[in-house]
Amino acid sequence: MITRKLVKATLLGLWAVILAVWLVYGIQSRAVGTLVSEPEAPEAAETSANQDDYVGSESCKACHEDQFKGFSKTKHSQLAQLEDWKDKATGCESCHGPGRAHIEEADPTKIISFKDKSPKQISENCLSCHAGKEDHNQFRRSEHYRNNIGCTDCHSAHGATNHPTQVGSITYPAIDSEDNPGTAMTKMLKVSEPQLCLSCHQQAKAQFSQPFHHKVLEGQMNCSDCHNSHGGFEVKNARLSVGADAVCVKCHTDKQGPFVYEHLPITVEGCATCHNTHGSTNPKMLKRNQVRQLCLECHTEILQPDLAPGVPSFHRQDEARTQNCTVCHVRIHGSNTHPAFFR
Amino acid sequence: MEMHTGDGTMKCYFRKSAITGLVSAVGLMLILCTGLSAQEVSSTSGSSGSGGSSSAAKQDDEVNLTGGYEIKSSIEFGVRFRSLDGNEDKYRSDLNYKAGARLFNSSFFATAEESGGKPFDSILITSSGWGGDPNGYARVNVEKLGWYKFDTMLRRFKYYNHLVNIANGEHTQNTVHNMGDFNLTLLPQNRRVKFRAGFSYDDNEGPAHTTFDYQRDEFPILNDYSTKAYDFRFGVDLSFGGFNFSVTEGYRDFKENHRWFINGFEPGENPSPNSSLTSFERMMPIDGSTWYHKLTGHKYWEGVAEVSGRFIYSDTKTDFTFSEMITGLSSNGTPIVLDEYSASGDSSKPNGNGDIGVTFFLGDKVEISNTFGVTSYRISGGNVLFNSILLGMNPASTSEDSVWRFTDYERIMNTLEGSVDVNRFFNFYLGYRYTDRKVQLQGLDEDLQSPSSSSFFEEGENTTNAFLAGFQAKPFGKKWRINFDMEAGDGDNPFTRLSNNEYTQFRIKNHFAPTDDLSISVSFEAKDNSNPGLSVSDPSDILVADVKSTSFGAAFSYMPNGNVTVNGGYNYTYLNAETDIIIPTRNFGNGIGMSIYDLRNHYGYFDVWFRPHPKVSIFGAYRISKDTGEGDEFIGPSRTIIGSYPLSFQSPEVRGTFRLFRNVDWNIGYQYYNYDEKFDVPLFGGFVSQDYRAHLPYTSVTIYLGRRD
Repeated sequence: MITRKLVKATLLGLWAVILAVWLVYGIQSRAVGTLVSEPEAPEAAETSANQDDYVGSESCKACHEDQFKGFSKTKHSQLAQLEDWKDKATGCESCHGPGRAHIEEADPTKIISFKDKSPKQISENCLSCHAGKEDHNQFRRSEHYRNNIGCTDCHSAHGATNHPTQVGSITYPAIDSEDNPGTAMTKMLKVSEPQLCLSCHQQAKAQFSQPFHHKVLEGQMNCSDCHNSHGGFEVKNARLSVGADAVCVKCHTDKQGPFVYEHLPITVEGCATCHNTHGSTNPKMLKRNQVRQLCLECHTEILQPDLAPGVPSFHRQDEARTQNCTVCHVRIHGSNTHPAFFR
Repeated sequence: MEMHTGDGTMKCYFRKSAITGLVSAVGLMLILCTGLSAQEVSSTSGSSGSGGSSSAAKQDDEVNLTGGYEIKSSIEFGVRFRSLDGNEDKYRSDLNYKAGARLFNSSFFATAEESGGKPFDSILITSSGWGGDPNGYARVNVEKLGWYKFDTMLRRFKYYNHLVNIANGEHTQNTVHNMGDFNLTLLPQNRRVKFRAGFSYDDNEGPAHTTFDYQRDEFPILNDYSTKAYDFRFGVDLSFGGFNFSVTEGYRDFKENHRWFINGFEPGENPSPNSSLTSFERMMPIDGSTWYHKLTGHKYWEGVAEVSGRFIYSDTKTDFTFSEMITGLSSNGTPIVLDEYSASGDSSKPNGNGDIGVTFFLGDKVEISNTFGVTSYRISGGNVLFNSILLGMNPASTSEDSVWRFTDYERIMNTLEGSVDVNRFFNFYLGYRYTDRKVQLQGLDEDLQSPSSSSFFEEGENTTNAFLAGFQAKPFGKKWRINFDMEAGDGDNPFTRLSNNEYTQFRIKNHFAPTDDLSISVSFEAKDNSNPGLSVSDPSDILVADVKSTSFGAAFSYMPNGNVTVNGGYNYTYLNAETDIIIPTRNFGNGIGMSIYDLRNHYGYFDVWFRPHPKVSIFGAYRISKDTGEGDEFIGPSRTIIGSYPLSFQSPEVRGTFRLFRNVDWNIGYQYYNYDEKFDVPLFGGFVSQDYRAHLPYTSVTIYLGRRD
């Protein structure tokens, strides 16, 4: 108990010190602008811009033909057609700022370039339009943002990347390509799901390749069915379903409840207490290969927690008959008629 | 064990579902492809005429337009064959691929050259796995800029589960699970208001087996499994004065309508008692509904702060009835003329979530964020259970009981974090998360015939403090990215021993792309969770649950030119869970033992694609998942359960594609699946091997529209 308090005090103390450093750093940063010198010209160009400084996307095409071709097929390029966006969307210059000085002086510093910007700085640009969307609202406090993964790490602002068509597995859909288009096209992703996510989350690929897994590699499910990659209020960027329930119950209807007799680990900890939600070598994607291990690891006679009682002595583990808990406790996710989940 | 087939209407339903899925995924695409290809015309993109383009670029800009749409499409259909050696139930539980004709992958993408006067600007239809595959899906995305956006996802899973290592192989399922999501957004690009509407369905039906404990004996029983859910939702997004709001109203209706029964005499599986069943019939329809309401808000003060908030309230209610009729013999051999149960009851779960997140920007390099959330729900449910049992010639004995259970859960979570962009090559963050959870359980049991009652009240509270930290570094600019993050937490009084208590976890990820053709990723992840508890019988005994896991992964992707691609990767997962448990035994009673679970999983994959000739493509892949577990140590010392499960699962694959015409490819391929367990599963005194080897050759044709040379 003393150790725990000591750890807490240390953490809080450490936090206070860091907070003080941050504040000083922030004030200093604001006072001097930026601590690390970076080209200032684009920002200067942006702030001093007037309508005459905008030249239109067609002017960019001469030198940036590949980007223009991709971009001209995106919704970004067509926004200016809409009355609602006429004052805001100006093609390439919506993000890169006015291009007249850049073209006339052939000076690469006279245009906003994202090559030397950090993912967060790039994301700021995207969020100036996209932040108001419900799915994006919490992006600045998401796991990805926290780890400096920005919008253009997954999205291609100039339109989906055209990958060459390759034949691949018959069971795992290949990435989107020019001849085999998919959702990467409509969402302007660099690569389609799940390959996009798995390029960083390698462990998940191994989990989805286990004998028991959710059908993500097969294309029936997407990572974004269960996770909001733009962040949310749940840990691990998890989504909710049916209002405030776990995302699992959207498909696993019979687990939704509420039941008269709830099984507490599901109620308070969630499905991932017993299941590996990506995949497992064990049937039913369980965390242990013998169900009794999962049960006995909680239902043993310990003072804490009080909420999981020990098992009666007639559940003899040296007899095969009583080793399979769910033979009798069949409604282990919750029951309306039996306190021990028999029916 | 043979699955029972349920009634005839269910079979019809399955056929109907399959036909519906096939029509929606294939029919629409084939009609569009074939119909439009007949009138395919060539024209030049209207925007390609500006000066400065090279002649090569002009040629590249030329697109085939059909009715004003540029179409790119591919559809692959063919036949799969199957040869299986080994345990078919295990094969079907894992893979369930059957022989026969099927639609493999397909996609149809049409984009309007000019938006005006057309019903849609773009339509995308993709599908896979229809016809005979166990898992099929079809996606449809249609959009007209400024007017609407419509997204559909249809899924069908043929779920088969018959494994001897779950409930002695008696919990099986052979169901078809159909799901659909339809989402429509009106005025999707409007900056002030958008309207949303959505509908989802979920339908899971089919025959199953389960078990029932009766008179201290276990009986296998049949189950017609049936669940349905329908979800309706609509919402509006509003922006005014720099504030963004979203309001969503939703309603979900869900039903369970299972039936349990036996078809004849069942002697039971426990040889000791004399109990048996001659008839068994149970119905327990559950009718549930959820109303949910969600409000989110967002405001950004440029360069100063950002706030987002969310409030969700949902209220779920269920009503159920229960009836069960049993005849047979009791455990002491007395004839059970009729054992009849009936019950009715309901339950409810009002649930409220409130969250708010705020970020302050201190300059353009420092951010401080705080996210605070409250979750609260109360589950309340009760039933009145009536039982009448008529044994032999004795008068019927009856009982009538009423129960009520209540669960109150409340969670407060606050995360304070700050991040610093030192420069564009290095940034770091630090954070602190505090969580407090409280659970109250209450119950009241009443005997309604001889009025008496008992009640209970339990309460638990859990507080967790966690420290977060991480950084991202780019030693060589964008070519090399290193991400590190860690979390160390300390909790008290955890609700379950498997939950986080005293834990640390960290991970480091490397992404290295020295050239545009080559990328290499390496990652490492470690978790340690220790959860001590004190024995009830002897509080001086500390019973520890300790779970350690590490994972190492490496992958590479190499595409030296447009004719060759090579990918490979390896992942090693180590997990060791050792938990002190109380194990009851016949001869020695309860005593302290240990539960050990070991995972030593090696996963490797390697695939290569190359084009030796402009008209020939070859793809080859090898994947293996091999868990060595704890070697041969299956039987531990007394009172030790070892959950080691050595197995290997291999799936090599090869495929050749030959371009017959500009728009037609012929494919031929072969897949092999090999599942190998290192020990057989004990079942009723014998052993059952679950190994299998499956050979799946196939041939197919792919037709393209809008394919480029």
